[in-house]
Amino acid sequence: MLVVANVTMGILGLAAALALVRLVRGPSLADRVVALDVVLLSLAGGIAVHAAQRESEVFLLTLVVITVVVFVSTVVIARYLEGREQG
Amino acid sequence: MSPVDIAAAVFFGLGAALVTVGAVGLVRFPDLLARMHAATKGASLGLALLLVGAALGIGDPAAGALLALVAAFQFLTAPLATHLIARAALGPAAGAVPEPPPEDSPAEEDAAALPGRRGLRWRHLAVWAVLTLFWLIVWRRFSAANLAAGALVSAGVLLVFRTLDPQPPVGRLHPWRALVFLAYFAKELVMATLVVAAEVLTPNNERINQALVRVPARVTSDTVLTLLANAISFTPGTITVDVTRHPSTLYVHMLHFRGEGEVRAAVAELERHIVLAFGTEQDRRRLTAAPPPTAD
Repeated sequence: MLVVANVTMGILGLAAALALVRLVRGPSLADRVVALDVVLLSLAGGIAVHAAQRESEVFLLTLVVITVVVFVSTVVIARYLEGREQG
Repeated sequence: MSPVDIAAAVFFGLGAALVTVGAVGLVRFPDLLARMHAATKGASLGLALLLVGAALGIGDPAAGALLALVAAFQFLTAPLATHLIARAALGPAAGAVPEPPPEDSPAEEDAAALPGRRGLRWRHLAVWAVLTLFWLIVWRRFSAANLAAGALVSAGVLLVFRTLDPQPPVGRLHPWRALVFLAYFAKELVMATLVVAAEVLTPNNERINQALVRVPARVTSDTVLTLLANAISFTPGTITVDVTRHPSTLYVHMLHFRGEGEVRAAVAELERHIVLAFGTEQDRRRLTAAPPPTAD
């Protein structure tokens, strides 16, 4: 279990690094938002794997927080983008 | 390793692979909308599989309930976030100018009656029960005292937000048809992810042929239309970019465009499943009265 969890987290780290490439390259703000969502969801996946690895439930609530923040921040930036186009 | 641990390991492997597929698509695909196809489908299903693996690995039902809540939230919100970003980036989809509702529309009367409405309805009770359930799941402590505390806080939340009337519920729930819909949706979701994964892994992206297709829908209820728009974002090669009402119209972005007939048929099939499972009586009648929209 330990090995599997470590490999899984390695793969998730790779996914987050790839998404970071898109986050840096952009070019538009919308591209960056989508990339940031994938980075955060990889982080959430890593936390879930960690919880199973240690059989610890301490960090499970951070999963709720991360998914809610991902959604709300995306909505807020989308509204900002729409407002900017009209203004 | 016990069989449960092996199952957890399989879910971890598949989940991490799918999240990576989404990330690779994010880097490789040529523009924002194509990237969103990869990110929405890959990351959402990937995270869900990782959560299933974690639930198996932890082996505590209370933790499993919390993880299921997180997965459900992700599936409900990911298409909405995609839709909002796509619409913000594109501007209103070509020709998607919202038409004013007809004068005698019952929806309008409903809206006019909304702000001052005081009466307690059964749907308030349903929201109250769901909020209390969330409280219990997030606390992971199912005692009578915690139930009472949750009920009290949920009632307070409903009181503070009483002007936000809950949306009229979807029509009548057919449990059997709902299961059929879930099975169909699961199949479409897996297909959708495989399509994106195949595109991510092909050396060149010449097969990508994007198009924005206007698809008329037959459902009229807002809740069912939202559900349909959400579900489309998880079916193969499609995401919903915009929705207008009166008449209900969906603007669907295709990754591999092969003709309007194909996407209209796919949406009509999904719509049929959703209406049979959750639709209002009115939607059911419209479904049987009107033939599925065909390609022009």
